[in-house]
Amino acid sequence: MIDRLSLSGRRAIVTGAGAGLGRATATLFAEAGAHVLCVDRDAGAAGETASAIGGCFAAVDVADRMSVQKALASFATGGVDILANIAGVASSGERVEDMDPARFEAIFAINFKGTLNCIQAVLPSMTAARRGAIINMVSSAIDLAIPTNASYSISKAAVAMLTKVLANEVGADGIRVNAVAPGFVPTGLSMEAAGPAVADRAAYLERWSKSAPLGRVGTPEDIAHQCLYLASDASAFVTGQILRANGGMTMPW
Amino acid sequence: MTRPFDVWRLDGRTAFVTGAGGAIGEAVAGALADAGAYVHCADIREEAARAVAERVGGTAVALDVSDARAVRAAIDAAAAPGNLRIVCNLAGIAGRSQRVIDLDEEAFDAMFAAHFGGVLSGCQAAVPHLRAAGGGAIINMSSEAIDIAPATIASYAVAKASISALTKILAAEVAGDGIRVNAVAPSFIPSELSLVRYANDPEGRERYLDWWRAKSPLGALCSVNDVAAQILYLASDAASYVTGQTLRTNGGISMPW
Repeated sequence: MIDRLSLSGRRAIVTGAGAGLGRATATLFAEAGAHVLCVDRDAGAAGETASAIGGCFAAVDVADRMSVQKALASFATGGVDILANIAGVASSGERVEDMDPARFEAIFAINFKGTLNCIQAVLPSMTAARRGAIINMVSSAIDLAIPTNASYSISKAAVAMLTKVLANEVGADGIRVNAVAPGFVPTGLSMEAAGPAVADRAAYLERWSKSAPLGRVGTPEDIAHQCLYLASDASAFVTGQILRANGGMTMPW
Repeated sequence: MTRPFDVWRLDGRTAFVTGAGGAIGEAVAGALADAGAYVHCADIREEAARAVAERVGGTAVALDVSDARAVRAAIDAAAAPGNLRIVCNLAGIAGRSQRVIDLDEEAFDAMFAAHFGGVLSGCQAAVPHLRAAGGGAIINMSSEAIDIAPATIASYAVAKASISALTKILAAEVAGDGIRVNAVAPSFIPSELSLVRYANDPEGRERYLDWWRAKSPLGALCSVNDVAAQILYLASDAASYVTGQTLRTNGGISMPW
């Protein structure tokens, strides 16, 4: 049964591959046998991941539709089996009453439209091949409704709904679409989002650890393995779902 | 096995699977054993349990999960050599069609005892042993019925919903002991048991299967191996940060938040 997890011979695109969850996922996919295109807006970071795992890289901001089209569609001409949309940015820390539409749009442009851009770039190739697995990164924020986190939470809720609608649209083409909703995982992104609260890093992590029944924060590997499950044939009959590796922080139906 | 698949391995761990003689149970027992676990295969039908145990190199257990004392004795015995780390409560019975307005208490109680009662007994017997082993994984069998509220099978759907609720509450209660509790909710899986109504009606059987295929965006039916793969994920350390969840291998028939 474990052999169903193999990605041997598969071609994968991982966005946000320069750091954190994206780098862990790109690394695990490569170890599972996939050839991985590492996408990140930071060329140095993308290149670093790519050279560590023997993949290739593209320095692309997912919000830039033209660049995404060019880079992803070019990789997809050789076939693409897996797209993991992990690139994202954190919230601006404003209450809803103070939300600045321009800052909201900047977050939405990356988290939602960036995901959509990448999906639209690879769909023709996946549809032609009549196979594919798309994994979108959402967040426990879609369950928690954390105050001052509206921009981020809303952009992730939008990605969750996109996941379901797309799953219904492309299931007949043999393409599966799922999302992962991690709990708190300390990464450059999540720690930066904490802002001043992170002055006492240990206390901040302790608070998050306690908010999960399992009593710890998540690791990038926890998330990467869930992505591997969803990318592989082990999940051949799983589509339109949101999987949560969150230590039990939320347990929706 | 090396990275990345080492955390999916279950070498040296003991597993206890109820309903192991059924189609899903057999696939699950096989997947856990393939991953290195020693599997106790429990089923109310002793012969079925024995056949699966022989195939997977495990131990057969004759067990009626509606008998709580028998469940405890069986799990105690399986745990005695130590390192019981995985308990899969899969045993269940097929539902009888009945509208809610006609639902009689006796039929409901029987269904509830077989599903919810069996899972509760399995959980209660498992927890002390998993705690003693320093942690472990419980996986309970829920169903697609909890999402689609199908008419005329209320007893079954209510029993399965109760199992999902139990899963979450127990997950919160025992997380501190390193025990993870999750459920799987597969969609319809063709098997002798699930198609018993069509034993002498091959045309009706095909129509029924096509109806299920058409409900899934993937246009296919759930297979026992799809469920087994999901249970293997939840049983393994690959899912060490996953608890209190109901995972669906349902072809997208329902997509709850």
